Amino acid sequence: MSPTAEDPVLAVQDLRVTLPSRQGRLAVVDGVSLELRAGEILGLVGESGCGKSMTGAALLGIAPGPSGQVSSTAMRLGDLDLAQLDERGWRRIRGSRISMVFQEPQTALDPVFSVGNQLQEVIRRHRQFNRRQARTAAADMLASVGFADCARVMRCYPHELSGGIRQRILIAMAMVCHPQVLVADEPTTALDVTTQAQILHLLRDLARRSGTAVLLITHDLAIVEAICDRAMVMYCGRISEEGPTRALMQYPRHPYTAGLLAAMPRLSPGQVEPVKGIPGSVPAPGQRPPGCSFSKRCERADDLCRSQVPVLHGADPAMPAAVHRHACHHPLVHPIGSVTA
Amino acid sequence: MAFLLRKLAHGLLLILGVTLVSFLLMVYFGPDQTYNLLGKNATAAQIQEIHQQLGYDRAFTSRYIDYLHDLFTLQLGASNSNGEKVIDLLWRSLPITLALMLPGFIIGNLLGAGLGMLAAWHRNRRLDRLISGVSATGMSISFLIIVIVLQVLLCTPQGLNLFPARGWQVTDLPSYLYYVTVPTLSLVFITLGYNTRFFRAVFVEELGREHIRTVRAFGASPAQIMGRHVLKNSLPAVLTRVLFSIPLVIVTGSLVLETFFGIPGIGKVSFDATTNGDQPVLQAVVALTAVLFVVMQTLADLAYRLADPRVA
Amino acid sequence: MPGFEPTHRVWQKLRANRAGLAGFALVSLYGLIALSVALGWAGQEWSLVSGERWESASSEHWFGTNQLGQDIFQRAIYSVRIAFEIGLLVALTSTLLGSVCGAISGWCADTWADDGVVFITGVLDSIPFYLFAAAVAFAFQASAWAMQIAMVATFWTTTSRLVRAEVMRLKNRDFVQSALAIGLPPHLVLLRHVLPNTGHILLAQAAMVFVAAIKTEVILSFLGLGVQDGVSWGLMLAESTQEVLVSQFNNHLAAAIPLLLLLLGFNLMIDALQDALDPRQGSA
Repeated sequence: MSPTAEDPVLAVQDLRVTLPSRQGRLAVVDGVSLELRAGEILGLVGESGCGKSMTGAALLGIAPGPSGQVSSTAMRLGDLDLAQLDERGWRRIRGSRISMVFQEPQTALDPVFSVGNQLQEVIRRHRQFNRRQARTAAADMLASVGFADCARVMRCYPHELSGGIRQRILIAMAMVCHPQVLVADEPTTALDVTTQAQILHLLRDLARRSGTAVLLITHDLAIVEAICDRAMVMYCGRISEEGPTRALMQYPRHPYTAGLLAAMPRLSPGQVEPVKGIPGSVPAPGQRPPGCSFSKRCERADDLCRSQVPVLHGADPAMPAAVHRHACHHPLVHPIGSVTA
Repeated sequence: MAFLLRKLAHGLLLILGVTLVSFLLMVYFGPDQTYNLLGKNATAAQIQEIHQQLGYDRAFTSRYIDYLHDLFTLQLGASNSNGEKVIDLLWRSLPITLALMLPGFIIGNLLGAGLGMLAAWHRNRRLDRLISGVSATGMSISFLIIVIVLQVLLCTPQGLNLFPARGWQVTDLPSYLYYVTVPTLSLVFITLGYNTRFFRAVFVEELGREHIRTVRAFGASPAQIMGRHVLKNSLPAVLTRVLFSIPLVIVTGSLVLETFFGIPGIGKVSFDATTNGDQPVLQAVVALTAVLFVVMQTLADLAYRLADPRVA
Repeated sequence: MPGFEPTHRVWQKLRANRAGLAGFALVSLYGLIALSVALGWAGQEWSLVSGERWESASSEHWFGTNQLGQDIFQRAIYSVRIAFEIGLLVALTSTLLGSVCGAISGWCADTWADDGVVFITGVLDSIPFYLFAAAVAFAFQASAWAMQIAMVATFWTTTSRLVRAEVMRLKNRDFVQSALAIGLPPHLVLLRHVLPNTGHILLAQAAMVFVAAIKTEVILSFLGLGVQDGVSWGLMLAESTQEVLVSQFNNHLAAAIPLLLLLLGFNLMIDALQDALDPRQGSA
C-alpha cells in the first residue's frame, strides 16, 4: 500500500522550536512543514544535533526545557486544531491520538512499576475502562506486538526484560490507545542488529494494520531504506530534501543527502570505493552561516549559497506530498529519464 | 534470605563496633571513678575494693564482655547523682521525648517534601530560586538562634507571651499543645532548610530520568508524574533518610530543645549527665542510641529492598 | 578525560554566579578580620571588664557591654578568630584524614584495608554526634581539644566515603588503566593521576566541614562541651539565653548576626563551587 492523495492525518506548517541564548532566541527547528497520511511511514533523517528529535517532541507539544518555545502557522491532527491546545488539551492527546517511542528502552520504562501496571496506567488515563477492561486491552495489545505469554510479561518489572522486549513493550504502550500518529525517535539505535530488524518490522506491521502514521526519526539511512515510504532529510533545523524513499536514495538532489548516502557503508559485491565522510561537522545553533547552512561544508557552494537561504523547491501546499523536493541553489543533476519528479 | 542474614551479620558487627567505641571512651579510658564514689579520704583497702567492683583490675576483653552483657540485659546501673536506676530513668523520659519531637519531625518532613516538590517542578525558575534561597538562609541560621528568637517572640512578655518558656506539665491534650507548640515550631524551622534541600535534590534527580519523559509523552499530568512516578521512585532514598534521622532527631534535637525548654526527656537527661559527669547514664544513652541507629540502618536496608524491585 | 575541568572554565562559571561571588567576598572579609585578630590588630580586649553591666551601645562600646561589663564588640570580633581557628583546624585535619583513608580504601577496594576503613566509618557514623562529643569530652576531661577531636573523628567519614567512591570510579577509567598498563608504579598513579582528580570533592567538602564545625561549636559551647576558656559566638549565645529574658539583646544579636552572615556566605560559596566544579554538568 503506497500513500495516496487522501487527506493527511497530521499536517504541520512552518514549525519552529526556539531556545533562549545570549544572542536572543535561536531557532533549533526552523520552519519545518510536514504531512503524514494514515498508514505511511515517514523517515526524518539527519546527524545528531540537527533538530530532528526536537521536531518529534514538538509534535506532542513538548518543548525542550522550561524556556523552549514551540510555534507553527498551522498544526492539525485530523479535524483537531493542535495550535489551539493548552497544556491540558495536549495531555488528552498525548498517548491517545499522538504517541511516542524513545531511543533508550533501558531507561524509558519506570523501574518500580510492573509492565502491566504501566500499560494499564496509559489505558485508564485515556479511556473510561475499569480494571478488568484495562487488563484485557493491555493483554490484547501485548499479543499484537508479538508476546505469547502476556500474563507473565505483565507481571514482569522492566529490569527483568531485555532491551528488545522492553522496546516492544514501549511500542505496545504507545499503540495501546490506537493513536493516529506515532513518533518513533531512534527506536532501534540502542538495540543489536537482529533485534533492530524485528522492531522495524513490528513498526511497519502496526502502521499497516492499524493505519497509524509513523514519523520515524533516525540517523541511519539504511533504516529509512528498509521501511520508510517517504523520507525527509534535515540539516541545521531545516528540511533540505524530501521525497519518496526510493527517489531520494537513488537520485539525491541536495549535496548533503548525497554526502550522507556516500557515507553509508554498503556491503554490496562489486562496490570497492571507500566510504566517504562529509568534511567538517554540524555547526552549533548560533554559529550557522547566513544563507544555506550547509554552505561551509559543501563543495558546490558559491556566493549565492552564502547569502541567501534556499527554499524547499516546489514547496507548494497544493502539490502532492509524494513529490521530490529539495532546498538547494545548485542541486545535483541526474541523467534525463532517471529522475521521478 | 541470604541477604537478610548478611544484613543482620553486618548489623551485629556494627553493634560490636559502636559498643566498643563507647566502652573505650566511657569506661576503659574514661576518668577514674574511684574518688567520685569514695570521696577524697578513702583508705587503701576501700580503693582496692572499689577497683575490684568497677573491674579496673581485670583484663580488657573480660571487662568488655561484661560491659556487653550488662548492656544487653539492660543492667545499666544507677545514676551517680540521685541513685535512680538508669533503666527507669530512660523509660520515664523516652515517652516525653517522643511526644515532644514527633509532631515537629513529621511536620518538618512533610513541609520539606512539599516545598522540595514545588521547587523541583519549577526548577531554575523564580519559585525554585525563592525556595532554594530561603532554605539556604535557613540552613545558615544556627539552631540556637532559632530557638532563642522563637522563645523571645512567643514565650516572653517582650513578645506575644502565648506559650510557656519552660516546663512540661502535660496532663491532657490542651496542656500538651500548650507545651509542645514552641518546641515543635523550633524543630520545624531548624530542619526545614535541610529537608527542603534534600527533597528537592531527590525530586530533581527523579524528574530528570527518562521514564518521566515517557509518561509525559503518554499524557500524564504534573500531579500524576509527581504523585505516582517520582514519589515511588524516590521512596528508597526518602525512607533511608527518614529512618536514619529518627535517632539523630530524638537525641540531638532533644538535647538542645529539652535543655532549652527545661523538658525532662532523654535530651535533658543526657545533658545533665554530661555536666555532672554521670557516667552510668551517659554511657547507657550513648550505647543504646548507637544500637538504635544500627537497627534503623538495617531496617532502612530492608525497606530499600522492599521499595525497589531491582534489588529484590 | 580526567574529571577536572580546565581551570579557566571553572573561573568563568564562578564569575558568572553572582550569589557565589557575594558569598566569597563575605567569607574573605571574615578571613581578613580573623587574620587581623590573630596578628593582634583588633579584638584584643575581649576579656577586659571595661564598663558597667549591660551598658547600651555607645561610641566607646559599639555594641554595649555584657553581664560582666565586657565590651561585646570586642568579643564578637575576637570570636571570628576562634571560629576560623576551629573551622580551619577541623576542616584541614578531617579532609586530610578523610582523603588518605578514602583513597586507600577506594584504591584497594575489596581488600581488608577497604573493609577496615568502611567498617570504621560505619561505626563512627552510627553514634549520634553530640553524644559522641559528650563521650569524648568525658574521656578527655582535662583537654581543651575534646571538641576538636570529636569533630574531626566524626566529620572525616563523609569525606572518606566520597573520596573512596570517586577513586573507585577513576580507577576504572582509561587514563588510569593505561598509566598502570605502561608500568607506572601504582602509588605514583594514585598520587599523580587519581588524587588530583578528587580535588573538586575535597574543596567543597572541606568548606562544608568548616561550616559544620562553626555551627557545631555553637551547640557544643551552649551545652558546655565547647570552647573552654576564651570566647566564641557559641559562648556569647549561651550567655545571652539568660539575658534575652530580661530584654538584653545586644549580646545575642552581636553573635547571631555575624554567625548568620558567615554561614550564609559559606553556603552561597559552596553552592557556587559545587556548580562550577561538578564535571558532570555541561556548560549549557
